[in-house]
Amino acid sequence: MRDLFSLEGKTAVVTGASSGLGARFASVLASAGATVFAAARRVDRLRELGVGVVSCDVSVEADRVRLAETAFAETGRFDILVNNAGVPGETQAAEETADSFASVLAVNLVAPFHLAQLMASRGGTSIINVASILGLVSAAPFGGASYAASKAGLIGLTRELAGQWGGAGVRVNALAPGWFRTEMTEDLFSDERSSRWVDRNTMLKRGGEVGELDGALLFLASDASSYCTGQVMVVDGGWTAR
Amino acid sequence: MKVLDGRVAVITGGSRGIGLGIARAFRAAGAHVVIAARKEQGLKDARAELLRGEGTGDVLDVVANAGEPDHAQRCVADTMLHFGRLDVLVNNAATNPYMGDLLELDLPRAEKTVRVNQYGMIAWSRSAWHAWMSEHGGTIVNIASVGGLIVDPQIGYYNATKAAMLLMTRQLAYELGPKVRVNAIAPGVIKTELARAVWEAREPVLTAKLPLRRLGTVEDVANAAVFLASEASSWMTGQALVLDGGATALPIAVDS
Repeated sequence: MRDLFSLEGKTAVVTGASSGLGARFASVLASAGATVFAAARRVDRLRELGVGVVSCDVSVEADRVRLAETAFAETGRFDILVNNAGVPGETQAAEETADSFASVLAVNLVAPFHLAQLMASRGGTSIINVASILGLVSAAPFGGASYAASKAGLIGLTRELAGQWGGAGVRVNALAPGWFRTEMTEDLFSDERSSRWVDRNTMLKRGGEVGELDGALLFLASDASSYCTGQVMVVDGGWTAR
Repeated sequence: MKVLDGRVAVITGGSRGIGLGIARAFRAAGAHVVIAARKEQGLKDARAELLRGEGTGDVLDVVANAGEPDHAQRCVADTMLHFGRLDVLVNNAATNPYMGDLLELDLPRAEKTVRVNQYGMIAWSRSAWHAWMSEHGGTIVNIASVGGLIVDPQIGYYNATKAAMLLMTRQLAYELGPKVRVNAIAPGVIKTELARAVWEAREPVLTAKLPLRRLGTVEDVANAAVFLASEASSWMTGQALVLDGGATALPIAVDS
C-alpha cells in the first residue's frame, strides 16, 4: 500500500495551503514523496510547513499563471493539482449580493478551472478538486447559496474535465469532505447544540478528525486510483448516505 | 507497518477474478484472508497461489455458497475458530443466470439472482456482525457494479440487484454505524477471465469510448478495496467508489 501510494518524484501544487485542510494536504503529499508547492495569500503561515511556498491569490489570473510556472520551472513537471482554496460566502441567501456571489465563484470555481488548464497543458496526471458535501446537499441554516453553487459547479467541472482529458492521461476527481473542524466550521463546532446536531446526523456519530482526509487524498493523487476519474469521493462519516 | 497488519478478512467469491485479486492485495497489505467459494478445487488452487504471493498472512479456504445463509454462518464460525477475529468482510460473490429483457425474466432465475447478490450480502453481514463486528467494530466492502447506476441492453436484472447493493450499503452504514463502516465499490468492465466473453472481442470499441482509454484490471479494484478496508478511510461510510475509467462521467452508458 505504501508503494502504491508513493508520490516519489512527483510535483504537486496545493492552493489555499494556509488553511487547516490545505496545510495538511501539503504536508501529506510531501510525506508521500512529492515536491510540494503550497500556495496561499498568507505566506507567513506557510513557512512552518517545510515545503515550497508561493504567494498566490487564486482569484488573480496573473498569480495563477505564476504559480504554475514556478512549480514547472523549478522541477520540470506539474503532476498533481489540489484545488483547495475556497471562500465561504454569505450564509443567508437573501442577504447575499450578486457581486459577492460572483466573487465566491471566482475563487471556488473559476480559479480551479484555470489552474486545471495550466496543469493539464504541462503534462499533469491527477487533479483533485476539493468540493464539499454542500455541493451535494443543503445544510441550511449552515452553508450558503454561493458556496453550495460553487461546490456543485466544481463537481460538474470535475466530471466534464474527466470526460475531455481522460484520453490525454489526466484524471480529475473531487474530494467532498463533510463536517471537519476548520476555520470555516469553527462557529459550528464551538456551539454545543450545532455540534450535537452534527454527531446525531452522522452515521459514525462524530465530526471528521484531522488526518481523516489523508487516505482519500493519497488514493486520488497516486497510482492507487489509476482507473478512477470523474468521481466524487465523499468523506463525511455517512452524512450524505442517509 | 502495513495498513491491514494482523487483520482478518473474509472474501466471498474469493477463489478467482476480483475476489482473488482482493485476497492477494489484502495479504500483501498484512492481512490473513479467508476465501469462500463453491468449488473445492478452485479454492485449493487459489489458496496455493495466494501463499506463493506477497505477504505472510495465513489463508483459510471454505467451501460455501454465498446464497446460503447457513454457509455464511459456518464460514464465519470457521473464521472465528481459526483466527479468533473478523475485521473485514468483502461481499464479492455474485451470480448472473439471466440475460435479456426484464419482462421475459422467469421467477426461479430472478429468485436466484436476488438470493446470491442481495440476500447474500445481508446474510454474510449479519453473521460477521454477530460473531465479531458488533462488539469490536470492522469494515464491510460490497462489490457492486456501475451496472447498478445505469441501463443496459442485456443484464438489466443483474444490474437491479447491484443497485440494491448500493442502497443497502447506505442502509447498512446507517444501521451498523458507528461501530462498522460499510462502503461499496462499483467497477466498470474489468478484465477478468470470467468476463472474457464480455470484453475480449470488443476491447478496442469499449476502450475508445472511455476517458481513460482502457478497461479496468483486478488490481484497480483490489487497491480500492484495501483503501476502504483500512483505517485510511476511517471517516468514509455509506459511499460507493466508482472505478470505471470515467465511463459513467459520460452519457454513453447505454450502447449495445
